[in-house]
Amino acid sequence: MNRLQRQSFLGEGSEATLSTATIGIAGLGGGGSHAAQQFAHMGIGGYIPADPQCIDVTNTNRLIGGTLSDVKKGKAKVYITERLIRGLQPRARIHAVKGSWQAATELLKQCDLIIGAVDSFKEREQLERFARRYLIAYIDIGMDVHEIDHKAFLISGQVILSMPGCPCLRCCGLLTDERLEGEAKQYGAAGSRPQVVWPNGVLASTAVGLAAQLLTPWFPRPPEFTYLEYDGNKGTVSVSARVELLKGSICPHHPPDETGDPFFDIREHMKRQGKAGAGPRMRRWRSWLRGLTGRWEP
Amino acid sequence: MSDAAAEFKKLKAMHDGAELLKEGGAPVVLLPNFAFRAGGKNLVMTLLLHPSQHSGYVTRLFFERNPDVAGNWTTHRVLDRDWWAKSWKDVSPLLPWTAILCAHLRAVA
Amino acid sequence: MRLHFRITRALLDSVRIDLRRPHPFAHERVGFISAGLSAADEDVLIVAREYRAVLDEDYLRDPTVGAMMGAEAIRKALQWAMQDRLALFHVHTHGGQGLPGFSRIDLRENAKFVPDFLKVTPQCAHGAIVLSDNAARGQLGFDPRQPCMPIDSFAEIGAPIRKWRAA
Repeated sequence: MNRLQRQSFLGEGSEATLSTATIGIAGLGGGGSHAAQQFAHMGIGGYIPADPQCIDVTNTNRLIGGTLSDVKKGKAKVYITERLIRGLQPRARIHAVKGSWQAATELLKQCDLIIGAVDSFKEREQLERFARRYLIAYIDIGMDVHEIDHKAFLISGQVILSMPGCPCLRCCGLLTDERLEGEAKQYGAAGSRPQVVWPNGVLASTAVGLAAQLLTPWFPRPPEFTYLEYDGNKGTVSVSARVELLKGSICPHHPPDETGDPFFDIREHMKRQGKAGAGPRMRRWRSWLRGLTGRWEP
Repeated sequence: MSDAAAEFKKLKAMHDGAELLKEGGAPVVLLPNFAFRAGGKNLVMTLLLHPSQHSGYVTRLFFERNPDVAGNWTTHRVLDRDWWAKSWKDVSPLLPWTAILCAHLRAVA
Repeated sequence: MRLHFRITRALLDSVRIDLRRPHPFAHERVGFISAGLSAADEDVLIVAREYRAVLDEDYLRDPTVGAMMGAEAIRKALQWAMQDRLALFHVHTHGGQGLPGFSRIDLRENAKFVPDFLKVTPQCAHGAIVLSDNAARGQLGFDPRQPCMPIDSFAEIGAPIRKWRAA
């Protein structure tokens, strides 16, 4: 019996496609941990989870896979995610990075898709730009709880699919200079923002669904751009009005001539290959070993 | 000659190794091995001048490493590299680029 | 070291549309795809940027080959590579379905122009791509003294994402 046989409708070869895919997940809090769990269920084979933090007791209201025992041990969120994934995909290729996503860029470059579940507008902007630079599909998820009146709250969120050439987070109005200025004024001392588990679940599931459309052929003519707005009070996920307004528009914020590494020098790269001391045979052995163990070998 | 080209020419006269690049369509000036004073010390490192809006500031100067000077320093990914920037507001993008650079450097001197 | 090529579907489609246009006298059309490069651990990522067609007037009449670029086409491409410090890939199509292959003449011509490009932009790598209607194959040169290396994989970035091994 094949664990994934109930999802064979995803298309011929979908199991192999999902198995060979590699997904980056920046931020393993409420949203990222949900997404990681679902990707593991789905059969995604490769993961680059990046998060600098360790779990604390206030995360346990939403961090999927995190336990009170993990809190006692001060376990890193990325290793909780790794454990979660391995429970379903023991041979998954997981390169967990206990650090910010910036510490994982060499690995993230190799992803088919990146999920951005980061906390700040600045991080979103820079992560999306990184994804655009390497023509990587980027799916951004985020939620907020707003106090609209005394003891009345609005839960809202978004899932945005940002593909090269298509409208970006700035085109969508999610990223603005005003928001970045406001965030900068807080000097990072924004305090603990309200967070609960179920909106993260809705947003992460929506993101995973978009990822499935991008990776497998089950859905005819999947969108290359979408902006989905979550209203947690009404319990709805709707296509933003901006999608129609932005139809056919080309993103001006990420010019197509800005791909790749502007400082790359092939001569330096070849020298490093030589100095690494590993000839082709050693590199093949390392690659085989990584594939076997799913662990990162320095 | 465009404004950016004219401004870059002046920076190039100030620092011969300067290189004009761009990100998000906005001009960015790489200043390799730039000598400056920070916290009373003489330092040499690569700087990146962003003479327009970036990360909530109207202009920014990025440093290859944290020069270990008092202030609120944050990291940023620009031109596919990690940089440090000090929180230093309101250095107008309307100033000549040489003046923008000097204003940001005064903040770390 | 493996080589991985990424290109958006929109760009690839526009290249194919252009290359299918009839030429006054050449049997095939050719052009150049520009790309940025990056290291990804030991591998090299080739990330496509733009396409420029070789203009009609920059072809040479040569009935022995499908298409022959003149010196002006090469000069323009060299200038582009030098000015913008990018990798350039000569591109043409063989049509049909499935993984295409470079012909003997393709390989001969690649071996001529790639070293010339490398001499003026030694920090970059340059190469060639041959398309079919649904796939591509390519090679990359980075040392004028060495033969080009085959590009190992292609990814066509769109919805859905398409990937294939090409070497």
